[in-house]
Amino acid sequence: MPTTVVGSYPKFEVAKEALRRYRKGDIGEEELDKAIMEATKLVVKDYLNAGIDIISDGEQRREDMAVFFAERLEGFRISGWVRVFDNIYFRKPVIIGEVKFKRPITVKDWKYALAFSKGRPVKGIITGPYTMADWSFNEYYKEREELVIDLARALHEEVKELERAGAKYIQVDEPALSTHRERQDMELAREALREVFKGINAKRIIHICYGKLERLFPDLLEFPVDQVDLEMKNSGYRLLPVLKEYSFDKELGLGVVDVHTLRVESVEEVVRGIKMALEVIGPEKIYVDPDCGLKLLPREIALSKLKVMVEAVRKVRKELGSE
Amino acid sequence: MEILSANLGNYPRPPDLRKAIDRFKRGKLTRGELLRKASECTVRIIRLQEIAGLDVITSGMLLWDDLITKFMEGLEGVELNGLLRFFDNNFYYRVPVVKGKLRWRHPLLTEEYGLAVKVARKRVKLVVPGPLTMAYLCRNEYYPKLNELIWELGNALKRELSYLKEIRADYLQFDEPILTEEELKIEHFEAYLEVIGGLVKGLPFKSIVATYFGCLNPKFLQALFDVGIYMVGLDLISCKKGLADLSRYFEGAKALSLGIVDARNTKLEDPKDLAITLAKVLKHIDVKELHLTPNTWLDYIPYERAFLKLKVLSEATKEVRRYYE
Repeated sequence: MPTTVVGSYPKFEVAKEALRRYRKGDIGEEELDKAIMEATKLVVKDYLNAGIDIISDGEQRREDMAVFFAERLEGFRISGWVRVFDNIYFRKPVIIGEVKFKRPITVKDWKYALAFSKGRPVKGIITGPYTMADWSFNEYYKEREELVIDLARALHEEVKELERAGAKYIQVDEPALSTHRERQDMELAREALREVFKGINAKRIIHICYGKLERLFPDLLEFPVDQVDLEMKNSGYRLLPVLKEYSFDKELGLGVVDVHTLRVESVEEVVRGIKMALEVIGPEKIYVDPDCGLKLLPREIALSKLKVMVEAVRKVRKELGSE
Repeated sequence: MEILSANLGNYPRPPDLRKAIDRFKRGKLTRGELLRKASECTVRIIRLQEIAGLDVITSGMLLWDDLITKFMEGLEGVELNGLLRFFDNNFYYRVPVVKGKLRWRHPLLTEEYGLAVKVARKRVKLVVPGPLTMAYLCRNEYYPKLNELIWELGNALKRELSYLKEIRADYLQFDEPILTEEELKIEHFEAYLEVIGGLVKGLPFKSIVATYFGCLNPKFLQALFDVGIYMVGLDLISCKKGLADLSRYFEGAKALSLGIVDARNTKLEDPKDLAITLAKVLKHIDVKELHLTPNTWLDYIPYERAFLKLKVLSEATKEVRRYYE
């Protein structure tokens, strides 16, 4: 029962400042890289301090999970600010031409994290084609299906780059799937994932969160992935009976801490969540992680949540006789 | 048939107001200063809607964080929790957790809407969250049955409306996107019909129930008219049914509001193309009053784009009127 993370970590000041200056044209790529490497080192230090088994680079360079990729693929421009919640806005991408891969997007930061990871595996993480399409304004493609498949082909090139670099875990984030309305959407997402992971020899993971996750079943069982990572804590583990009903037999990424609240869960609370999952699925198939990326939390809270999570897992492992 | 162009819901927050809200949250602006700024922006947004050529405008609802928070946070018995996705959008709302008996405390919307009516040169529509959608978006930890929560939310709205009715607006719209969701249970819809029927009785506005993000069940449409709703709003963009299917909606309709401009995509429609499509739809419509609107709130597109979308809408409406006349 390894511990892991979904991807993002609160941004360190050194990354924030460098990104600001880079955007203003005050510094070049080289200086930005240096700052991102420094920030990634701090992220990894926190992960190791908390005791996370499979880490990420903390996504210090990513302004937003859709914008980051849109800025680096062909066929996009970035629009004005669009609200996500409260007074938080993001610059939503606009598709204005054929989507194509240009050059590696995430590999550099993945390598930074690996260099500091003291031998722990680092997940390669990309935003999935369905979500990229859903979270962009489409001003070019007549058919959404065509857009999603083109995105999948472009992202497949990125996944190949990660595999070539040595990534053993590759996660595709598809949060938009949680709001799909039509069954055809699930079929489209599945086909797109098939393209993304075509011929890839790494653990294939999909992460989905915040929405009507029960609607993903049973179609999700047919997805070409080894592991499904789901937000569970925020929704009170209500998905577990659904997993049971459909005899879920893939690996499960089990979200056990809520990333939208500042309250740090107690160890007992997390232990309870893990035990609920153990009633449905064996420990060898569970990867324990937060519900989602930690980027919206203050760093101290994020770190505390990770520490609690690791302590809870150790406790459960001990009870199971595997620690 | 009177054909009018109308805003459906809000207008994106102007950049200067976004900055002011951030400053307020950092303690660098007082509440009074923020409210003054919001009023100034409200007047500007009303002018923008008028310049775009709309016949019916809204206040822009610039201080609303989403459809339900503004109203829910004013109620006793509710705590706002973490974020959840709002229907099929990359947009989140704070989940209201109902922990105790709901009590309406004080008027929440009269100042904003009073200002809109005072400064507007066009007809004004007031927008409130519908009790059914609010109930479905809550985490109910208090009432044994959802129907009770629907009733209580209806009661709270009734108190709010008792103040709003002093405002001389033309329309009052209840937003009910939940009516397009397949998961909606019929027993809840039936309870809702009683509640909404009671709410609109005796109000000095033309009442609208707006639905969006999907297709409204035609049976629901008729039931809404039967309990006294004046106009029902449909999202013709998200509901991808063909014209033959859609015409079922229009039988027996008294007044309709049709979402024809895609407020979830920046791509600008051609007003002439829109008008040609609408001319076909109009053959199936025989209502007293028809509003043409964006298909949902304008929150999903950038501020700069909203004006252009409304301009497309008003131009298309003028074309449609020409066809019709």
